[in-house]
Amino acid sequence: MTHARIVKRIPPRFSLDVEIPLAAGVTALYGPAGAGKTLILDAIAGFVRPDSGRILLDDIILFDGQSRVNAPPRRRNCGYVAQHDALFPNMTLRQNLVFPARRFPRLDRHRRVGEMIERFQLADSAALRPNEVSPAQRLRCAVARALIAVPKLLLIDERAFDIPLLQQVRAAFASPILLVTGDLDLCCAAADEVIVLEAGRIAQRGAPRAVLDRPASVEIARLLGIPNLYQATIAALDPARDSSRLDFGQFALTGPYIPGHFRGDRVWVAVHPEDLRVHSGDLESQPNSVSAQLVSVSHRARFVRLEFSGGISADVSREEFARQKDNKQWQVEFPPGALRVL
Amino acid sequence: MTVAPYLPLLALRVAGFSTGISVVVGLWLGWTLANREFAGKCALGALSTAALALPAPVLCYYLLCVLGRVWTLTEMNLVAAGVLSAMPLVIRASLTAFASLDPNLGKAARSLGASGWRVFLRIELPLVLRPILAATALAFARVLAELAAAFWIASRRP
Repeated sequence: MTHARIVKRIPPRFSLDVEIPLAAGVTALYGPAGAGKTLILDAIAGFVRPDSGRILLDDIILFDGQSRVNAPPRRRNCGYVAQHDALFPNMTLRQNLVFPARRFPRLDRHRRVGEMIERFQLADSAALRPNEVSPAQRLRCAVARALIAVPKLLLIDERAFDIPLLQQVRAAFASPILLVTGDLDLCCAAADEVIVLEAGRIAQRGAPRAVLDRPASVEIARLLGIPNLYQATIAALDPARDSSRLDFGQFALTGPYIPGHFRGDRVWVAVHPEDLRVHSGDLESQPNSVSAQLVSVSHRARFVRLEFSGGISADVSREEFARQKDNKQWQVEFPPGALRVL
Repeated sequence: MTVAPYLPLLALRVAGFSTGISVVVGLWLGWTLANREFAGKCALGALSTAALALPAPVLCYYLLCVLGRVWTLTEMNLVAAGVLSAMPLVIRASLTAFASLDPNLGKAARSLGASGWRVFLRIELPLVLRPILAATALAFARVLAELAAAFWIASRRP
């Protein structure tokens, strides 16, 4: 069992209090700066001593506040990929890989280093120093260096991780991986569980898609970057038709049935911008639609974000935007299933 | 107490010993100041800087006054005076050099199973070697230059 219960106070105001069971696979720590993500990794790796709690790695106690057990970092067997890769600048990439492999017999050491160089495509740059290679190669080398010591847990505090590399690490490493990230795409593509941290506490945890689809609170929805957050009053509830009527003040929409609420309750509603549909205002009024003025257009890598009056943001494909960009008036359609009551 | 007139070989020997002791102790103090938290850390840092500001003849004179009564070995007195004037240079240089190292390097090395000594010798020391060597050369030159003042003052003491 791998499990971390960490309590740490940092005067004057910050306190960390989390409990993280770690299973095989990737667990992503997501949260704003200062939420305590790096502190968790440092506590597990042994660089920060928690005030209390217990850290177990494969049933071996690394830290126990009550019995005052605190294993030093070098005896913890945790791989640690620090921010900005932290390759030793005075060594070549090969020497960086040999550094943790020193405890293996010579032939075994060479075999392991060769394997890692092959697996992470470092053959061309093995004789170069870190400042002579690209950031992507440096990152691959940092991961290879952490894995060569055969850790029982891999801690990754590198925000520049991309999806193919994480999937490669996942395929090569059977033990738990704890990853600090601010990239929700990475969480959805390669993480088994995402833990949303806020001010040193776990705000929500679960499968990445489930957390994104059902944020537990408006604060978490904001953390997850959902721009469409509205307060609404429940005007009607119809469990038989699995529907509800939500009054947003300036407009009213039909949504799914909201269990556990009564008519007249004030609720927060989150809508992902990619779930909205936009139409020309000249067409016949669409069901569950709102007329809105286009305020700004922002071109992103894979889509175009349209900002409308009333704080409505919608993401459309580039092709869809090219078709509709000459609209004089706009309608924004809210499919009932897109309305998520928090 | 009488001190021999200025002798180049004696001066080189004294400067060499003083610089050697200063480098070993100064490196340790500089590393400790950069990496450890302890009571009196600020005072030690301030003291090491203040010693740089003390004029060399004054420093040598007081040292000879104090040590002249305790030790009879004149060369040891001179080495002690040299250490006192050289060490602040090494401490400040090593403190700055160690503090400018990326702390993640040490973290990464320790997580890879390296002991504190191995991290110091394989990672930290090679990275701070240039500023430390520069400070060592400066310290050696300073001791050598100030020995002349020490000889002069000592030879005029009753």
